[in-house]
Amino acid sequence: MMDNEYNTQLDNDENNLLNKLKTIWINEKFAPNLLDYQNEIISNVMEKIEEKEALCTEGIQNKSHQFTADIYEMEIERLKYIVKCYLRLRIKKIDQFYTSVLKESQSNTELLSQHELKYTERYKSYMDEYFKKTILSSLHKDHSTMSPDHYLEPQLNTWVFCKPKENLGEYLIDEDTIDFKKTSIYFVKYRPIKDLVQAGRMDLI
Amino acid sequence: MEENIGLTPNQIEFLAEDTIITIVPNFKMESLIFLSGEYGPFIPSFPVKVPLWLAVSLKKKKKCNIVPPEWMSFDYLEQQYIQENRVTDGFVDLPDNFIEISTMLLSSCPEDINDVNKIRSLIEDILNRRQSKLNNSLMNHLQSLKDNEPISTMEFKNFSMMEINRVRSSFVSGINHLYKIQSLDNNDNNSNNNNNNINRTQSNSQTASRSIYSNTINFSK
Amino acid sequence: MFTKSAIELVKEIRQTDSIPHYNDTNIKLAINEINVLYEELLQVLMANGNEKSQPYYLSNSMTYFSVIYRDKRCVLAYLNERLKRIKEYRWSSGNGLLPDQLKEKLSQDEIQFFSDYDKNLTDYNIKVGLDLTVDPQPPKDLYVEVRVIKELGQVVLNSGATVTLNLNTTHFLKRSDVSNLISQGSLEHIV
Repeated sequence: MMDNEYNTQLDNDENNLLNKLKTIWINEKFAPNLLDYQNEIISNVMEKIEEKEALCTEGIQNKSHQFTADIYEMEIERLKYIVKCYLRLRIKKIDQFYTSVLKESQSNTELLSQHELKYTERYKSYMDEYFKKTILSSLHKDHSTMSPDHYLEPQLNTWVFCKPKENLGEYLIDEDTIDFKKTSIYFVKYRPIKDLVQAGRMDLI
Repeated sequence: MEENIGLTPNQIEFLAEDTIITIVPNFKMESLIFLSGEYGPFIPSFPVKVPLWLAVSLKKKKKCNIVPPEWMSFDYLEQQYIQENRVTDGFVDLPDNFIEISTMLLSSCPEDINDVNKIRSLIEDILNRRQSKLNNSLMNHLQSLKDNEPISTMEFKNFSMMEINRVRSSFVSGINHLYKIQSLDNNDNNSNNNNNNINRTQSNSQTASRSIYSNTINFSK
Repeated sequence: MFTKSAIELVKEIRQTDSIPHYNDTNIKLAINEINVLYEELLQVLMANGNEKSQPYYLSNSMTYFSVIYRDKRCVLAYLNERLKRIKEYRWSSGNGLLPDQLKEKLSQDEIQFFSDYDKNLTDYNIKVGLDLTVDPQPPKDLYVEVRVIKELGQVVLNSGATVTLNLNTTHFLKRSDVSNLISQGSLEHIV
């Protein structure tokens, strides 16, 4: 009854660009690993931001449009904030997990944006060079490399809160069968639902 | 890294600011086209729907009055409060982000809300009630655990983002901690957490290795 | 005692959240320990031919190996934690400048790393057209009230406008124009 109006609005909203942008930010926020770069959404949003910025500058010439321009500028600020949060989270994950990120990016070309790939490669070369200069080059050749356990890996065995985008039916999570329903929120181990999140069928919250 | 702990209260409020709300403007302006849709046109005295952030900003400039959402009426909230008290282990259905929305409206447009003081204290009561119910459910849940049961999935309903965020850090870090102890019990390799199959059998040796019971719990109304 | 200097490094970095003086002495000691022990280990292994699978020699090699492993691990942890803090400094300061009191605590290699990291991040920011290091708080209003806490004089803002920012004066300015100056510590946001 009373919340019907509310819910229809939320449903309508689900597919608009703003909500898609918010979703990829929040998913990236709570996923322990780096998720695939959402190129389409980000470039769409950036394009819209540029259009609107142009509109605002035009508005400045015309005093009566200043009021409207200010409102659009507020929207732009809000959008930029989300994009920045999203990209920042990703760079921070890349800094942490650069070796596994680079390795995964070889088989998964969706993982990194073109600029992120460049960033990661350069970051790795600076890190390698740094450790070589400070310690590795001073050691016997048997010890002059990093072993895999010297690198950080994302902790996939962590727990997350998630919300299915649709009724997903039953999934086997460890020994339990869970019927993932759209109306519920689940507190679940990340690893078994990782692919559902990546596929956009489950959102983290 | 501090970014990975959770969302800040400011960020949760920011997310809630995209909620759609009705205002009555006192100015004239063409429709606005945002990424989330089209809003307007704005005609004096004609109610129009806009995102909350715009409503609050216009209100500050005295350009509109805000129409509180229907659920923010005294009668409805009182009903929900009674309901919240009646059921012991579930939550009543309130909009996502009702906490942030009501906080923002109560501070930015108190004069637009009927029974504003009663509503303010009612919302506080609902919040406290929900908080203590949540704490109790989790406590009961933990106390009902048997030794040596593996940790598994839990299911919730009608749980707002702010409420999740409040329990998130203690919940996640607590469970991760238990999990680590469990895996250490079975696995001498503590050098990293990347082992694919965590062995789920248990040692009986320490109370610390007691784990969380596996059944789904359902917080439905 | 084996691994003493390496463990001291780890203890030292754990004691504080800031960046302590680079402990070159202990790093050299730990590296030296690794190299000396490994030389000895190799000699033992070569000299003892068939006997090296005897428990006596095996436990000896195992000990040497663990010491080497631990030394290396501790030094790497120390260096890595320092880099992490240096990177965090780059993010929170919003620019690529190292103040002198921080600079004197860093090694030459760390200063080089900071400059490489700064360049990489700045390039990335330019390419995506957004400075990721400023504005960590969600936008509230288009305009913010700020107080000048470092004399700036006349400043041209992003939007093209010119303002005079004298010490201790307050201004009502566009957030996007001043967020950079706020994170640099020249302006203070008045809440």
